[in-house]
Amino acid sequence: MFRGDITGGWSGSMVLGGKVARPLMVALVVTLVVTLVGTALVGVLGSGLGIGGRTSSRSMNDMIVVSRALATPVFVAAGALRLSRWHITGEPSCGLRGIGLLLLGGVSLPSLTLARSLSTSGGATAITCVRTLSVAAVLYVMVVALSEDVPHWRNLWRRSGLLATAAATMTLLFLLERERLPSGVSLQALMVPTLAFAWLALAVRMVAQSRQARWANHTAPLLAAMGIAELCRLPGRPLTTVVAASITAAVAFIVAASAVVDLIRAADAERAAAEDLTRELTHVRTEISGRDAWRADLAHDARGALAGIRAAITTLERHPEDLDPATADRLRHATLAELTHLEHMLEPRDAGENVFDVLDVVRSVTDVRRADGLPVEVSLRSALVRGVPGDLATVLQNLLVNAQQHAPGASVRVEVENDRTHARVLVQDDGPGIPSPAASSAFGRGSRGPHSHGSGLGLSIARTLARRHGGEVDLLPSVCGTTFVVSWPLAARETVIAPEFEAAVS
Amino acid sequence: MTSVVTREPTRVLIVDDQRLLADALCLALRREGLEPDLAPVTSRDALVDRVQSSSPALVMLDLDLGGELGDGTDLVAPCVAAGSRVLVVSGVTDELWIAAALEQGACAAVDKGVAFEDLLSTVLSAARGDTVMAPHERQRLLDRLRCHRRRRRQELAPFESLTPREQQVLRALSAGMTVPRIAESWVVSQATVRSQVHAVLSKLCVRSQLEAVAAANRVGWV
Repeated sequence: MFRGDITGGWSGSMVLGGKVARPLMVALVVTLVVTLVGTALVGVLGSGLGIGGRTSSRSMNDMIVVSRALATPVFVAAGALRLSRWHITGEPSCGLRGIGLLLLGGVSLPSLTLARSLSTSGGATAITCVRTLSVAAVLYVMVVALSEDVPHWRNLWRRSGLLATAAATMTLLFLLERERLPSGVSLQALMVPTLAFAWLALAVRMVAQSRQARWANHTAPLLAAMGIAELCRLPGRPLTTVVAASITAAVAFIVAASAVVDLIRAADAERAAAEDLTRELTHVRTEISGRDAWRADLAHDARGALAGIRAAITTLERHPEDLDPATADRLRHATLAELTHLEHMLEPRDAGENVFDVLDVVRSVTDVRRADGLPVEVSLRSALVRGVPGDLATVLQNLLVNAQQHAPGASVRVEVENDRTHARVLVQDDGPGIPSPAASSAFGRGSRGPHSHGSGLGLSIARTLARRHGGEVDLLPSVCGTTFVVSWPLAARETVIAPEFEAAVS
Repeated sequence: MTSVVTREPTRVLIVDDQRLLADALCLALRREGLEPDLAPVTSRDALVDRVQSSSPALVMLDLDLGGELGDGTDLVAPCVAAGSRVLVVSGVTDELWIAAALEQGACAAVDKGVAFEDLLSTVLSAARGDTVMAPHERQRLLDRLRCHRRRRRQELAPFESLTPREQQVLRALSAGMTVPRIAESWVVSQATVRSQVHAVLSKLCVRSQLEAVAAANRVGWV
């Protein structure tokens, strides 16, 4: 019944946490105070009135029954709360504690109350036996809950054979002894200290165990209190039995209160976990849809580029005589540019990272661009950097292709310099430049200049690649033309060799 | 029909952000005796202006124009209104997208990826006014679009039934916000937000916020 409310939706835990918890705690505390004050009053009044009277002993007996009757449902409720917490968290020790509390409230206390009301008839001894056994079972369950880090139900089952044997022996002992002993008194006198000792021993063990199981520390005083209550229950002394009953009731209320608090905490943790999961789901969804969009864009651009290349080549092949040389040349160049663009889109990313010289990469890239008709002037300086050479090549290639498309006919100058941590490659062209409103969005995906034939991915890819290696691509403000600067992390400091100058204009 | 021969060359407007393809098509069509023209793909208004001023017989329209223009579907109707036939020439593989363009009045659709010769012959017959797309194929695409729309309406119905505030709550939850944070940022009590969350859950027939967010994501409502 709790599971549906608490874990089925956050609404359940919400109701429990917000609306029910406070009144429940208040009711628990009020009932506890009333019970304790009531039993204490009855104890005092009873001892004062009934020194010799039989009626007062009778009324005291009634009070004991009442306080036990109060403690019983509270123990059962605490057990149910513990079990529902076990449903949420799945901690076996929590389930075992729930079973223990249910046994305590459901069997041992009612049986004792029954025994008290039937004390004149012959059923009392049997009921005492049942009570003793159930307390023993509770103690056993507690020991199991405590003795293993992760208690296993199978172990509990296996050991229950031991428990059954012990129970049978004890029952036999009772029945045999009953014949010999004058009354049930000595039986109780035997059992009461034994059980009290067991409770106290368990409390001590809990304290010893508290490092492994944090809950043990909180439970130890309650177990000790149960032991003291058991000790107070020596036969023939109604006053101490009243005290024992009130201690038991107090323990019941404390146990129930802590079960409520724990349950609310578990429900809150569950809710927080679910909220985390929601956030994580949203995050993953966003990432996936972003990646899907990127892939769809790329596929679209690749299809477009292929269609363009196919159309251009077919046209060039079919009508070579009709095309004037300038047009044919333009088509050829555009086809080449499109091929390069396609190549960049499909650039594999699995190359290994190592130390390489910027000079080699710049030289190979500019050679290719020069062959494609871009006038490039190069001022080279050797600098050892770290990363994937192919990635730096792609970055530079994209910038040069960008210059070629964006500033047709402009000449381009590539310079390498360096600061303390990064090599800086400057790519400058003397074209029309990027107007300042467009400059801020130049690196955005799908951003293109007015003369661009590309997909608008080139600069975005360049920046992504550079950042992946701890570098950056930036647009420098300049008076005329466009200047991009690529910074790339140096392999080590002071690796710069004397600059060499190299100029080439195709 | 003889007037066709004597008439001035058929004007064709090419709307494609893939300049290389546009250039090649332009050259090839000119050679076939048509009068092709490259449309500006900078802004929607410039494009519509060009269509209205030159009133070409055929507009070759790419659906994914990239950049500011993006989706070219809503350009179909103005072109048709200006008296041009619209042939969708696109790399788009999404049939629903193409069907939407057909619904807007495009006469046919052809994939950019086919052999250039085939592309060219399709464009030529479209420019002549022939039927380029088989009627049953056209009908199939339109049916698919209708079917898709109906399904979509059904999927979105529970989300449409949310009040504006409940929709905001669901959006906020989908953005990863928690109830206390929503309450804080909207300056309302947590109880208010929780009751709205409750309403969302019951209207969507789900049991947890996680399920609601997952449903919104799955349907693509967010």
